[in-house]
Amino acid sequence: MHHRTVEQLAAGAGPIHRLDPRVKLVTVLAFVVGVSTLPVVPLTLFLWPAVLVLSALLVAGLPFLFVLSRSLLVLPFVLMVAMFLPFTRGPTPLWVLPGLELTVYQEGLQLSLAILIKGALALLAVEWLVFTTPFHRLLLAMRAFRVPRVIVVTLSFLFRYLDLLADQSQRVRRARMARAPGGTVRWRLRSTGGMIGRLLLRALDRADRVHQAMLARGFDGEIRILSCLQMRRVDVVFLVGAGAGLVAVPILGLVAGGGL
Amino acid sequence: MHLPDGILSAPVWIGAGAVTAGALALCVRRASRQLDEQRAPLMGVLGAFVFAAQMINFPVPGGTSGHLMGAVLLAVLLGPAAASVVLFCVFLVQSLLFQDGGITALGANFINMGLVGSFGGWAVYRLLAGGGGQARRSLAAFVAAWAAVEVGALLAALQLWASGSAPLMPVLWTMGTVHAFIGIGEGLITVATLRFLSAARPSLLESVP
Repeated sequence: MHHRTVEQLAAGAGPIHRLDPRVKLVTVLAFVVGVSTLPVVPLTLFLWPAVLVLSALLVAGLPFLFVLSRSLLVLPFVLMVAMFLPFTRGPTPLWVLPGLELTVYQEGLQLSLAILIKGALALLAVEWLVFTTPFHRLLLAMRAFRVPRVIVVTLSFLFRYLDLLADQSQRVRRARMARAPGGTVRWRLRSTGGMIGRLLLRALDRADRVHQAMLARGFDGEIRILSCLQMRRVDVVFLVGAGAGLVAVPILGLVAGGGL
Repeated sequence: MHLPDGILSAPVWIGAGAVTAGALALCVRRASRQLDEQRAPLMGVLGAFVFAAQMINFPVPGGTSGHLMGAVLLAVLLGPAAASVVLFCVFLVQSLLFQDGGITALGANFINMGLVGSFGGWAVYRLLAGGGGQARRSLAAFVAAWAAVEVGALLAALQLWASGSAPLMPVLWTMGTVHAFIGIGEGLITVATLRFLSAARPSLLESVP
């Protein structure tokens, strides 16, 4: 499954991998927010953030093609939007599609492109974060930023059992395909309900057993999270550098938007 | 239906984010009281279950294949507050590890697929099911699950329109029609699963908070 590759990547030991996860989390959030709020024109605005995120990916030593292929996931939704915008948002006509009497407008086309680029840049930044940070370190960073304990604990159990339950789901599916492929719609529906219901019962029982096991090991209802995060000099240097690079993003936006 | 980053305008995603933060704070408080820390593993394991269940596709007549969103199912089992917390965690993991849905759009996605499904879907289910028998409960679950998908999709369309990313009528129409079909899949799977559960372990559905 895909997230196993992610885990393997995140377990690496490059300079970016070793950075404090809090620093990386803040940087990526700032980047994504900055990029999402940039104005739409001119498109050259996105050059600087693109340089930032691509060089960050390069330094992290991530497999470029894999990262790019994941970024294409932004496409389906953007395509749905791009279906309408170029034809409806005017007023400058660019060209007319022959035979269809559809006019493509410059403003709409620009907006679709900007949405595509923004989505892709944000995705690249998130990938940079999760491909260089093991999930449990990310959770420590979230906890350090006061994300409620219930959420962090739920996330950690979710991540822990993701693989197990996904495997179970695959096995159930394979078993059904092997023994009884096809069938009427009504029958298939019943068996789907049975498969999902069975998965759910197993999940509930598993949660119960996990809880018993925790109690047996002295769990008293209080979840304690031991944080071992430490800011080193490298982290501070990175934070300052990234901050400087990021501050340039909204400034560029203001300049282009005529605000400065 | 997971909105990516960059498609919503700042006022829309910040607004949705604020609503999400507020609602989530309430849900977290309620869920931690209701389930107490003793059941800490339960919500996480159920979150993993949502992923596992989504891998099982059910071919909807008409060409598309639906997979479970699971909001109504979780809400019926756990109550809406705890279901919301589980769903938020699911969306967060989807956007981080699976690049499905944006970070800035997390709030909007949570409203469309989490809050609408758990609170709205649960209310519809409760209202229609009443104390009725199997057939009536099945119908209620179907309507609730279908409506949750459809309303969520229409909300997403409205958010796109408010962001200036799509013209109102076409996007409403497209999202509405596509999800009317997807909703049928969701409804059928939810009903089939609940029927199985009420046969295999009826106590599960009786102890709903």
